[in-house]
Amino acid sequence: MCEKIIEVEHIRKSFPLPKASPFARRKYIEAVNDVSFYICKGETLGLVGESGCGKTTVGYLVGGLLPADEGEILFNGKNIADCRTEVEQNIQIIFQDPYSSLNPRKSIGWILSEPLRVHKKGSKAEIKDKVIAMLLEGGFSESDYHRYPHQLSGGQRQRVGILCALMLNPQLIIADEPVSALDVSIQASLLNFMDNLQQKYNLTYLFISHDLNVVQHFSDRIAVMYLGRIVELADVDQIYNNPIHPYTKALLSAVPDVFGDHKQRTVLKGDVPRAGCNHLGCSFNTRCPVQIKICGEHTPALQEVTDGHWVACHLS
Amino acid sequence: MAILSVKNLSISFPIDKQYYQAVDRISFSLSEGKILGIVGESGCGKSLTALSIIKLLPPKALLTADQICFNGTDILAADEHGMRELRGNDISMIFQEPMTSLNPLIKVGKQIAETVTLHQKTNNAAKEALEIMKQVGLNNVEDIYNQYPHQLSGGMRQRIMIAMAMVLKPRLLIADEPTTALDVTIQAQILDLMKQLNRKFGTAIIFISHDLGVIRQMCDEVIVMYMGNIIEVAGTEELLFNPQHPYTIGLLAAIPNPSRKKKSLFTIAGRVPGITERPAGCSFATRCGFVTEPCLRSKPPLVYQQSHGVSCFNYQDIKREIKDV
Amino acid sequence: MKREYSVYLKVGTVIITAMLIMMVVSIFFTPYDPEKMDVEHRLQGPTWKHILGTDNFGRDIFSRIMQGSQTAFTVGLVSVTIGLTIGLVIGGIAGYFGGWADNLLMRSMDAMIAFPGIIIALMFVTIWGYGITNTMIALGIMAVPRFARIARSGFLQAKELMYVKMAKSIGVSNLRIMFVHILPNIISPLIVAASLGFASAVLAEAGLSYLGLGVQPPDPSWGTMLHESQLYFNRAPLFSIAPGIMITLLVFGFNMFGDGLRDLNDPRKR
Repeated sequence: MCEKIIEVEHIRKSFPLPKASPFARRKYIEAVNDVSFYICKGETLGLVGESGCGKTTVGYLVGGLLPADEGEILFNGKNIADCRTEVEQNIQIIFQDPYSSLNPRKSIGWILSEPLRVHKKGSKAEIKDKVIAMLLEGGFSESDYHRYPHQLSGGQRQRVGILCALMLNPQLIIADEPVSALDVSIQASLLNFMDNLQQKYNLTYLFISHDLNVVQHFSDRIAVMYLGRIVELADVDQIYNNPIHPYTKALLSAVPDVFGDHKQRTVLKGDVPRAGCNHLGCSFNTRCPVQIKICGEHTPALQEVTDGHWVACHLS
Repeated sequence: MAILSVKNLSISFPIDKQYYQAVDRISFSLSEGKILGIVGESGCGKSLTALSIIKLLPPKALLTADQICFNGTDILAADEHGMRELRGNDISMIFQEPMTSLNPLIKVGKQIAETVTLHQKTNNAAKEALEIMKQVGLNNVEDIYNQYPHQLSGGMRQRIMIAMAMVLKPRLLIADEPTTALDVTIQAQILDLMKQLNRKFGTAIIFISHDLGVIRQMCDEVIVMYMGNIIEVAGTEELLFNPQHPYTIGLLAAIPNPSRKKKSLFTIAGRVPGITERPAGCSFATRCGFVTEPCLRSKPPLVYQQSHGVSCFNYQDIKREIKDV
Repeated sequence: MKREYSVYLKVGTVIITAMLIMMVVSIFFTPYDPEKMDVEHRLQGPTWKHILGTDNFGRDIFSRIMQGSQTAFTVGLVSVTIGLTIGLVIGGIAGYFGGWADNLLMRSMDAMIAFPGIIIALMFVTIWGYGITNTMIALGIMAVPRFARIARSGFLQAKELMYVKMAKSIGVSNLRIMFVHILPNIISPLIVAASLGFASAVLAEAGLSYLGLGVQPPDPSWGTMLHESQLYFNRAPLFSIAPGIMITLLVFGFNMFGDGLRDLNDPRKR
């Protein structure tokens, strides 16, 4: 067994939808529905799924940006709601869009020193030294201290975002689609950079992405989400070589492959239904190619099929 | 038979009263019924190239070319009226973001029908719209006909866009990152659909993407662009498994590859120079690991061996060197 | 990116600078004591000694015009500062926190806008008494809704941006996010509004003073001068025309300046 840095237990989060009319009953969208998992110290857990599946919400919940409606999130065994400052310093988030995640009116140096200033870590001079050391580590030069975000390229901005997350020496970094907005070659250098940082600082990553190739490359274990639920969770190799859930299978076969042999593809019919239309049974049953009768009646629970391989499917 | 041939196309933009080239003397052609991919990173000029074919470049852009010939029509000489005849009728285009390309206040069926009435005198526009909506894989077309864009999902909107582009059975369809905004399972549906329409109607497609996986699935031939130059052109499988240009080789090595799961990915050194910093010789010279003296002096021509073209002075040496490593 | 400074901005800057110089000079020097009466030479036309003539008490009009610029700038500056500060706080809370606070604050702002500004100002000075201080406070409060609305929309947009989320995730307090992180990004429309607000404050002060409700004699104010001069328009037209032109010029200057700033910040016009 590993040392668990994060344990998520049966969390739920729903968001109110705009009312159709002033007298209508307010409807809620179930963004995260009974999700449980844990992350081991030093590993990378990949969280994949299509847009609207709730993966970003899970990231925000674990990062303490949103409170969960139900369930508990434990950080090193303590409920994150009870240790705000510890969470603020030890769990950091990297956001997707490198263009809007840096304040356009502030210099790179200011942005990087803000976490230290806010948490009162050292004097002005100490903070500046630390920031410059960090800039050099990220492949910047000292003169970049006074530059502004618009003078940097997308890849450089995302690097600044990562450095900013590192300023407080966190233990866990939640990376929400950190490379999705970047070109392939820049994406590669950023992934290498994140990888080096992980080794150097013994970081733990929760790596959220819709790009299965990237997730596979970067993660140790992968959780696949569909409509607010985790449908499959296992080792990378297990997920890719022996996927069990029909959604995982379809998702993998839908990824356009650059290198492999042309494979037999299962193309799913239809769209992802809107979450929250409280429908009976398995959430995937509107699109599932192999469903049986029970799928329309009961929601399958996430169960351990083989060692460390969890699946939520009646047919597993 | 080439349906489209482009010779020495250049596009430049004025910055501080000086013109800078965004696309630099490129030539290519597309055979009838084929799918041609254009791949490259953002800012490489792939979208501009496509827009120049239907003359929808931003007003500031300066277009020069020796020839842009579509199906016997000289596009360079065509005026705005002539272009309007062509657009939608013989050449149509679909864009990345289906939400902003549809009018939010007009029913989607009506929008498709309007494309028909713009180009043809017919009373059957609505019927034709319904027919093409069926063809692009929509169910309950009568209901969807009367819906507004915001009522549809992203995948359905992109199907509507395709229906609009295909309703007049154009000879050429230009698709600019048509699936980039979509989820993978929806992307798979749309790619299947486009391939199917290509076979059924013989529509040639120029398919622009940054995703080599998508390109592989769709295209017969691929052009790789870098800083407004075509640096390599070849059949899809040939390009992916026998790349010649150091940029293409680097680009492929930078993609996470499931079968060689190494922790570190290959990266191309440096960054793409800005449009005002174009190198004098080969545009890739500032980042190339195999740069020699001639590369800095002049731009390498696109040299063909059979149907595989490379714009590199040293590609044979590079091939040998990489094999040794 | 090179910015092109528009003609508006240039004209506005020139006018405002000229007025500012005049105001600063008037603190230390005026040709005559603006309050010294000289009944023998009352209501004179322009002469070499009094280039704009004298008023009904024989005071030098040019000196009084110079002195009056102090009133104009003070009133403008103080009332804009009051309006901007309160408006920023109200708009900031409403936009950043949203919810019922937003509804409550913005609906009361709407209620204020529903009354014509000059009526509210009249009400204030009637309750608290005439005089320059109350005028400034009244004008400041009148300007609050405008600044509050602009601030609100700025905060509303900015709070959804990723850099605000990022600041939250590292534990920056809401107050610091609002004023250190967001404010610099939304300050330019506020500055434009401030400069336009300056112009309307000057105009409103002149109006109130003209009605005899604003600045009280013997303090020189262009509005008061207009009020005093109206009986003597036939004998000494410059007595009326001079302050009138000054008011027009200053208002025009600030409006030009504000419009110019707006164009400068409009990316479509770059």
